[in-house]
Amino acid sequence: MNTQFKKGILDLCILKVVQDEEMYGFEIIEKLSNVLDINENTIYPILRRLTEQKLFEIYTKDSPHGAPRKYYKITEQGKNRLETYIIEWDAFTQSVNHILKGENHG
Amino acid sequence: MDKKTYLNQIHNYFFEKEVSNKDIAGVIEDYSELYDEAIALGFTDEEVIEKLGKPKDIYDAIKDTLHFDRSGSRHKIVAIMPFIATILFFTFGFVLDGWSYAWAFYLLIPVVAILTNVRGKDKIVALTPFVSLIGFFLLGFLLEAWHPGWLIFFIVPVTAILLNVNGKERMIGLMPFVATIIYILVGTYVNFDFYYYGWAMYAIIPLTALIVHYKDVKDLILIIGIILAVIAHLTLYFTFGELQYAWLPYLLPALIGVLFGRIKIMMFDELNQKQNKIGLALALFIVVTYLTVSLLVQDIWQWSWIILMLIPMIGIYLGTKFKHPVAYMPFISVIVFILLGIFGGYWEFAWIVFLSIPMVAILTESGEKSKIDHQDETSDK
Repeated sequence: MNTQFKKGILDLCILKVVQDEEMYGFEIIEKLSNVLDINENTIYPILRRLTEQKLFEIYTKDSPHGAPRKYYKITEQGKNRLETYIIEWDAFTQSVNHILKGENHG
Repeated sequence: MDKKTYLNQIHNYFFEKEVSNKDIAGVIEDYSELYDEAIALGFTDEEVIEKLGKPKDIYDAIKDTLHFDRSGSRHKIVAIMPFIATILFFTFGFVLDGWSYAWAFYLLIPVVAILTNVRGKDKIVALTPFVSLIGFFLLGFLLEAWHPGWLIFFIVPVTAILLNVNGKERMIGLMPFVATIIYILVGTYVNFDFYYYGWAMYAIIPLTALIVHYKDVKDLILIIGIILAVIAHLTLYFTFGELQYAWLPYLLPALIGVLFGRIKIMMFDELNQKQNKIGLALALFIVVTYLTVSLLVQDIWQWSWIILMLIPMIGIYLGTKFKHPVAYMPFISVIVFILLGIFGGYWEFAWIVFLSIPMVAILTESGEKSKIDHQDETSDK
């Protein structure tokens, strides 16, 4: 799969899981790497970039392992971006499904 | 590798790339947290590091989100050093007639470049070629101890081992240098004949490895075999004056080692990293070559030691490849300096070759480096 395309989809997935539940870095990585075939080193840079773009904000909470954990929370800007991504994604998958089902040849 | 070393590597890599301190602190904080979380899930250090990636991969993946500090005063200090060195060179030359050593001020250029650009353990290791070079010339000019003064260059690999290898492996890694230092010092200052029989002391290297990693009775048999071979070797030398076949007794422990699979273990399994194995094998090969050449060719002792300059150079190559090409220059310069002096008699001019050290430092540690960094960044945009 094209890297840029995959990155875009990962942006969408990360925004979505963080919108559903505020999570710390490793939790997001674990959640996504269990479902998608990706490694830890792919997700951290995206988390960093999305935070840099102010789509996430960060707050810390104590962890049982010592140092406090950094939690990611989606911002209003992040929610808007997610909404745009979902609309684009729906339109895209719909178009692809049309092609796969041969509906556009009729 | 443990968490601290891993985070240090990330820190040093980002520092060398001139990432702002704030961003470095943020990345270190994040990776510290990710590391702890992965360990808490039951992963080993090696697995966590494998998962999180090498410093270069991390940097490549996030560099578009990083801020850089390129206005830095460290560049200014490095840039001004050639002028300071030149002023000192002429001042000491004209005022104190110190032309024979004034060139050493040019070493300030790479030294300052290293002090300002390299962090952590790497800084100490990177400085050792210069410390050893200065020590070498002090020993040479003040005490006429060119030989065995060259032994001071062992500071380079020894420091690298002391700082990067832990526990029992450290002792094993140091043994070839300890053995060589004792062998050369005794041969030089106590008894020249020691050169002919003293190499038996290199048995200390496999003996140390066997004792440190003692497993079962097979190791004991091998230890006894080595000790018997040393005794036989020394008996052959002292009783029969035998030089030519003195190595024959060592076939016994070699054979035992192969039969028990221990030679394979000592050379290729116990010394964890591939680099250590190659480095140790090459170092021993170079020492053997040096001794063979020196014993076979008459009057070559005074300069044949330059062969040994290859040991720290290999050490640098295995450690950092060509990341800091300037680290090789003290050794290359010494080799050229000695060859020009001995074969051409150009001692009074030969020191100019040492100017290649700051020249390489300027070309590779400042200009080229920032150009490469710049290319790195623009190519990804």
